[in-house]
Amino acid sequence: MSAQPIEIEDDQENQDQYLTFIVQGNVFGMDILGIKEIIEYCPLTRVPLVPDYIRGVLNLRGRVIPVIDLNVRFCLEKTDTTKKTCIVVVEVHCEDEVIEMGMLIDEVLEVKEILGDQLEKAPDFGANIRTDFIKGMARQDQGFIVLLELDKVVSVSELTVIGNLVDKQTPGSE
Amino acid sequence: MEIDLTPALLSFLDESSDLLQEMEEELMRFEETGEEDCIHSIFRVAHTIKGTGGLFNFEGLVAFTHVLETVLDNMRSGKQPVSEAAIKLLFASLDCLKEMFCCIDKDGEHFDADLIADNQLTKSALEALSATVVAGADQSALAQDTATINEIDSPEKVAAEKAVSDVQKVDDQYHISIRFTENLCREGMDPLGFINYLDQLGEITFIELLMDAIPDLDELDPEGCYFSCEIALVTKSGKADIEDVFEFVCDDITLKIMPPDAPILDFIKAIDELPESNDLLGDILVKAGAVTPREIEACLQSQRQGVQAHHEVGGEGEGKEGGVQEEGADDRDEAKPPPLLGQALINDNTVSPTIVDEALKTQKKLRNERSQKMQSLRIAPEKLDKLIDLIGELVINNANTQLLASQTQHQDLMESMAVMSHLIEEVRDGCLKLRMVAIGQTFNRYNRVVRDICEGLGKRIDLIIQGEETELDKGMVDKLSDPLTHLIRNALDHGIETEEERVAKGKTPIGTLSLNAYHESGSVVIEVKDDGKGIDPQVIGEKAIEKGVVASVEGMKDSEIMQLIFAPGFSTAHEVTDLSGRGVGMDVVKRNIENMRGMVEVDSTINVGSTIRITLPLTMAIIDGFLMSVSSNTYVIPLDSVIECVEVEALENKITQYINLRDEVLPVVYLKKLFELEGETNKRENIVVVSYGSRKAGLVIDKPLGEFQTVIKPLSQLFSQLNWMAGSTILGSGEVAIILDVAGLIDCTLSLLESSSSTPAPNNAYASQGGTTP
Repeated sequence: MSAQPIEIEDDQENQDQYLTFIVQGNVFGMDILGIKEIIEYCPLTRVPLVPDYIRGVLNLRGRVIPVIDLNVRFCLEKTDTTKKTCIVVVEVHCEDEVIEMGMLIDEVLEVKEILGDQLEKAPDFGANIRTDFIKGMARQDQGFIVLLELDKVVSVSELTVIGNLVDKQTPGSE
Repeated sequence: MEIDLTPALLSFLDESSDLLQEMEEELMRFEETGEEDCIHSIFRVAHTIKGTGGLFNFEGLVAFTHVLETVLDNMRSGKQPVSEAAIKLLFASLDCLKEMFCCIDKDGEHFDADLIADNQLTKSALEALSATVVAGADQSALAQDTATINEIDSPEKVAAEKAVSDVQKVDDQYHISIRFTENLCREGMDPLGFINYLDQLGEITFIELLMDAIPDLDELDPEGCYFSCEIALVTKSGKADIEDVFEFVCDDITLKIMPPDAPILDFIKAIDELPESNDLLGDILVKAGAVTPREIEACLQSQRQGVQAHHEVGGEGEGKEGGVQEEGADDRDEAKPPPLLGQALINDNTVSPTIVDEALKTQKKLRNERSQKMQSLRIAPEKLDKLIDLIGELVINNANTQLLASQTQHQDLMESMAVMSHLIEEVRDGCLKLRMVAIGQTFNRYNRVVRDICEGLGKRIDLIIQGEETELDKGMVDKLSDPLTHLIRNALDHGIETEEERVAKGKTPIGTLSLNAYHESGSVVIEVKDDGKGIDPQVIGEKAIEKGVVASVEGMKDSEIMQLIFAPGFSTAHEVTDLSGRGVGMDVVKRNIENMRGMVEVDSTINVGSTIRITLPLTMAIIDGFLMSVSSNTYVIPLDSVIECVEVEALENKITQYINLRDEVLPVVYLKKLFELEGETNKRENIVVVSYGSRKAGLVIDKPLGEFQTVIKPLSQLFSQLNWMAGSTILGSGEVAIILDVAGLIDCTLSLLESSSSTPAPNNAYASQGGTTP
């Protein structure tokens, strides 16, 4: 599979900053523009009768925001919380509204500058997550970092809990 | 230099819409009761609009209202009979006015007089109005004679009338003295403009330019204005109108308007007739048109200055004599007390003594019966919202403080906290009440809608309004008006039959539509009820199948079928409405109501009528909640829905079951099981008995935790589809608690049980998204 540089809308010198973090041992990157803040894991309020990808809700300085478990979202298991577990608070645009959500991740690494020419197109398959979640691959010394497409990973329309949950028997819950 | 009129214009537009609303209500009332008061009110509105409109140079508007005013004036003086046609005409004129205000853009520039003149509606209305005026004028001569003779019986009045009638022939001639100050031109004003505008009010019969003030050429400032004018103006307009002309330059001119001698008697009469709303003499005179507010103010000012001087002299005297009483008193005598306002006005030559006398009498009367008119205050809704947000934060933080206080076990602190909490609760309630408005105004608006639709449909329908005083959140009232209009239109159009049909069915020929609002266990219920043909479930079912809303209606209860009219896609096609009798945009109605956390129910009996019931929560921001714990989780339900808490023997380990509550069957939901929480069943279980709609159910919980002031935090978009979740709130500990919607929760439980007993639902929404597999 030959990876070819993908077209970047802005000029080549444009270097974007990405927050890198670990989910289930894999390193992911996300454009920091969509990220509001990173907070330590704190106990969440469970929301009953919703799918497992919603880990719960969080009181963020008086605002109640839902927290998405990225492990579950990426077809993996439910996150076991450790000392390093973090919640990345992001802003997603949906129609005219800006919606805040938290993403539960295993560990935060660093903010990396990634140049346009370091970007590669996502592989058609082989990355353990849904292809449309991937914005691109960033070439690094040690290998690739999967850059995530925020709007797809936490897509409001896709994550909205529909009606009454009937088939909510999931493996791995309880 | 231009003065920025935009803010003034905005407030004018704002005010006018209120005024037009008032006019409409009064007109409706007049049509019904024929009370003369209404005509007075309508006249006042028209007059105000004319006055302010003139200020902004909306000529078309002024011309129109002027004619309207004349008609109204004729009506109230009895010169013109009040017929059905006349009322119709007034309604039409009202619509014209509304139309005109729509033409006025926010920046005030796009008000096009031609546009209005071109407008067929306006044109015809104006023509009709003018025609009435002419017709009225013929009768007026006769009517006037009889009217004046009938009205005036006291000898002095007759005498006064006679004395005055001679002068009256000189016509309504005002004398206006204007002294421009030097600054006028520098302020960007042109004196000629005012004169020209005055000319529009009437005819300037005499004008004298005074040039005494013009200084020597050396001292003359080319930008200064040194003119003064003496003008005689013959006009039918009131004094306030004339003064309005000078509204913008009142600081830069000295204005004295001498009222014509003629209408003095009118002033006296007007003072007698004044509606009792304000007991200030000044205001009485102003309303009578004898003096204008500015004159009163000037008088008051000089009165005040008098008082000040008086005090100064008195004070000095006391200071000098070191408190010697007699001396001080003498001093005070020397400094005359300031003239009374009435006197001041007479001295100032502004009004004649007779008028002041009359006004004083009315004032006395008014003081006895205190005015009961409520004063109200306009506040921008955002300000209130901000305040309520803050109160919400206050409540949350208070809960936290209270928790900390109770941890200290400090008695005094805890007591103080309890008082504090109580106060905060009161502040909260008071604050929320600020947002509450009576629904009456919204309801009354439909009088007109019903009237117009009935006219169009040729049906005769009575609108009955009940529960006008029921209060609900302002935000909700605004959002209600669209759905209500929809429902009313539907009821009128499709629900209520034509007169012939009704007679054939043995009903009264006149249909009835009633709007009703009342409070019911923490929510507001609004009913739209008609006595029409009702909704046929069979027709609805057939149509629903045809439209593909449902596959089959077999086994569905009538009430369930009825709910189908709210299904999206049911009502888009026109023939459906014709057949079913209902359904124009019912899904929109339902969605709007549900957005307010309310619900809609239909209740219909064929040939008897339909009732559509909207149930809304009282408020959207803060509620009294009932806190309860299930496993280690805390949930809140609205306190209003809680009937009681009971303890029962151990229950079966099932999601739903029923218990015997004082010989009543009570279905209960085992929350722990429903929510799949850990924890064993207890030996004795706590049950919260709740009501939803007209039904009752029990929720099995671990522990009731009592009342809690719940600030509703809006739900994230992600949960917007979950109808069992009413929102979330933040507890004193900072923890988030979920607010359960009782009705939604029970619906959810039932559908959950149904689907688990039958085959799984065909489209699993989550299967495709990874993470969950059935």
